[in-house]
Amino acid sequence: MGMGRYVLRRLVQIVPVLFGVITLTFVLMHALPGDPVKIYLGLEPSQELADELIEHYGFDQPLYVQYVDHLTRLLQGDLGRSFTHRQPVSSLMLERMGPTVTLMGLSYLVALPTAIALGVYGAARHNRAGDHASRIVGLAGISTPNFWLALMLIYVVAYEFQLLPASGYVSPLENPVQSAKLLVMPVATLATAQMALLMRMTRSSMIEELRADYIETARAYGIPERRVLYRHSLRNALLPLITIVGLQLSFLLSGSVIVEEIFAIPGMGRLFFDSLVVLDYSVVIGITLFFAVLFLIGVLLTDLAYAYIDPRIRYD
Amino acid sequence: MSLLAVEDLRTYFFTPEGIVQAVDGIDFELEAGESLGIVGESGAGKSVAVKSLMGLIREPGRVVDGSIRFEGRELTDLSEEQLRREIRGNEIAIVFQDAMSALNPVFTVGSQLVEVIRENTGRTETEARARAIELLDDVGIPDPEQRIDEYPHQYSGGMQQRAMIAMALACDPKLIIADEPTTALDVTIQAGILDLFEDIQERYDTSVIYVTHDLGVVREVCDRVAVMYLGKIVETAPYEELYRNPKHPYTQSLLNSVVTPDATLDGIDPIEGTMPSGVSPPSGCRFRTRCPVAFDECSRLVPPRYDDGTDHDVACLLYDERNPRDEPALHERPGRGDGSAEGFTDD
Repeated sequence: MGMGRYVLRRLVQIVPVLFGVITLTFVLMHALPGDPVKIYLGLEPSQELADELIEHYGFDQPLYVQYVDHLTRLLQGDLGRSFTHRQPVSSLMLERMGPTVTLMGLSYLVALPTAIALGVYGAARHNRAGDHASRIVGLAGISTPNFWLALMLIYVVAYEFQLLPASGYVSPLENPVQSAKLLVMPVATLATAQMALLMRMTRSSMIEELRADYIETARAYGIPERRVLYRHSLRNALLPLITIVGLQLSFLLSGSVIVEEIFAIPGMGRLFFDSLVVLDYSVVIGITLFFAVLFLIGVLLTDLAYAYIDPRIRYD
Repeated sequence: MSLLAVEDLRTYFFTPEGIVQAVDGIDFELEAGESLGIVGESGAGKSVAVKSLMGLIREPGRVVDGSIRFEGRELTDLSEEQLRREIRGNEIAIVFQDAMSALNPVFTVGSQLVEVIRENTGRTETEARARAIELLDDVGIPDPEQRIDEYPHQYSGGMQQRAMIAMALACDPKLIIADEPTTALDVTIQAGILDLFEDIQERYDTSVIYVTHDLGVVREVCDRVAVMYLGKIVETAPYEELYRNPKHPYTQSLLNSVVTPDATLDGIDPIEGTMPSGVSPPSGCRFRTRCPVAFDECSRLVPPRYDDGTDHDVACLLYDERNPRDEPALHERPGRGDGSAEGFTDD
C-alpha cells in the first residue's frame, strides 16, 4: 500500500520536471543563433519555398505563440514534425530507438557485472597487488575520454589489425554476427568509463562494509569468506552503488551522442546531434523529453531498489 | 584437563606507527562449565585476547607467539579453513558488544540464524528453521514463530542481544565468549541479559568468558576473574577472593574507582593518568607509571606471576619473597601522595 502510493506520488512529481525540461530546451534552442530556413534551404532560398516552410512550421509567429502551440501539441501526445526529415518526430524517434537502446543496454550488461566483480576483488585484497592493479585500471578507465578511446579503437582494431569493421550498424535481429562485430567497439567505448567508475564505487563501498561488525560476526560463526563477501557485504555495499547506476544513465545518454556519431550508428544520439546542428526544434525537444523521462524513471527505479535491498527503508 | 589453556599468548599489530603489543604474553586456564571474567580498561587488550582464541585477528594484527590449547588441541596450529570449519561457531561462539551492528541489517534474524546453523551442523533449511525458532524461544524472544522473520531493526536493543545469544547457542559450543555483552544496553536491560547468560550456561553446559570493564558484571556472573592491564594479566583470582583481597595495586585502584549508589563522589578514587600506548609500553612493570607504590626495581624487572599455592596469582614485585622493598603493601590499599611513585620517568 505504502509503496503503491509512493510510486504514484513520484510519478506525479515527474510532470513539473518535464514541464521545466521542455521550457528550458525551447528557450535554449531559440536562443541559438542561426536561421533554420537558411540552414535547410541554403543561403539564397527561393522566397516561395521559404514562405511555405515558415508558414508550415509557424516560424513567423511570435515566440510565445510557438511555445504555447508546441506545448499544446505535446499535451495531445503529438511531438510535432521534423522539417528536415519531413516526417513526424515520434516515428523518427521510434526508428532510431533500437540502436540506442541496444547500445546502452549492452553497456550496462557489460559494465555492471565486471565492475562488481573487480570491485569486490579489489576490496577483498585491499592494499595488496591485485587491489592496486584494479585501481590503476579503474583510474585509467575514468580518465580516458570516450571520443579518444573510440578513435583509438577504430585506428588500432579496425585499421591497423583489421579485426573488426570500423563503423556502421546492423540490427541484431537481421544479422546477429555482423551486428555483434559492429557493436563490440561502441559498447566497449561506452562501458569503459562506466565500468571504471562503478568499480571504484563498489570497491570503496565494499571496503567500508567489510569493516562492519556484522562481517566480523559472520566470520566468527564460520561463514565461508566467499559468502561473507558476496552475500553479507555486497548486499549492503550495493546501496551507494545503485544511486550511481541510476545517475549514470545521464552519462550513457550523453555518451551515446558521441559514440553514435563516431561509429556511424543511426541511433537517437546521432539524430539528436544532427537535429541540433540544423536547429530542428521539434526533434531536439522530443529527444530531450524522451531522455528526461528515461532518466527520471531510472532514478525512480533506483529509489525502489533501495527499499528492496535495505529493509530499513520504507516509503510511506 | 582444562577446557582451555592459554600460555604466553602474544598478539601484535604491525602498524605504520610501530608494533602495538596489544596482548603480550598472557596465561590463563578455563575449566569446563566455568565462567571467567577478563577485566580491564579500554585498550587493555581484552577483546584482542579473546578474538585471538578464535583466530579472528585481521591484518595488520597477528598472533605472534604462544599456545592456545582447546580440549587438548593446539588452535594456533590450525589453518584458517580448519578454524572456520571446526572451531568458529561450533566449538567457540562469540557474542559481541553491540548487537545492533553485529547483526546484518539487510537479512532477517531468522535467515542469519539459519545460515549459521546450516553452515555448522549441516541441517536442512527446514530443520534449521525449526531449531532457530526453538533457540529464540530459549533466549526469551516472545512469539518466536513470528519474530523470526523480522529484521534486526524491528527488535529492541535487549532483544537484539538475545538474538545474538541465540546465534551463539545455535551449534552447542563448549565455550561462549561474551565481549562486553551488556555495555551497549540500558541498565534496566543489563540484568536480564546477565541472568540469561547464567541460565544458558547451566542449561547448555558451556563455559563462558566475559570480557568487560564493568566489575558489576563480573560480580553477577563470574567464578574467576583475570585483571588485564596494557596487554598483560596482572592478577587472577576467584571473584570473592579478588574482591576481598586484591593484591595488585592496579586491581586495588580499579576496585576503588567503582561508583556505587551509596558512595559519595569523594569516596571514588579514579586511577590517575591514562594508559600508555601499546607501541612503547613502560619498561619493567607496565603499570609502574601510574602505580602509587612503584619503586626502583619496577622499571627494571618484568614482574613474573607469583603463585602462592592458592589460585590467586599476581604479577607484582611487591609479592616477591626477596622483595627488595622493606614493607610489603599487602592488603592495604595504597593512599595518594605516597612518595614512592616519584622519581620515575616515562620511557
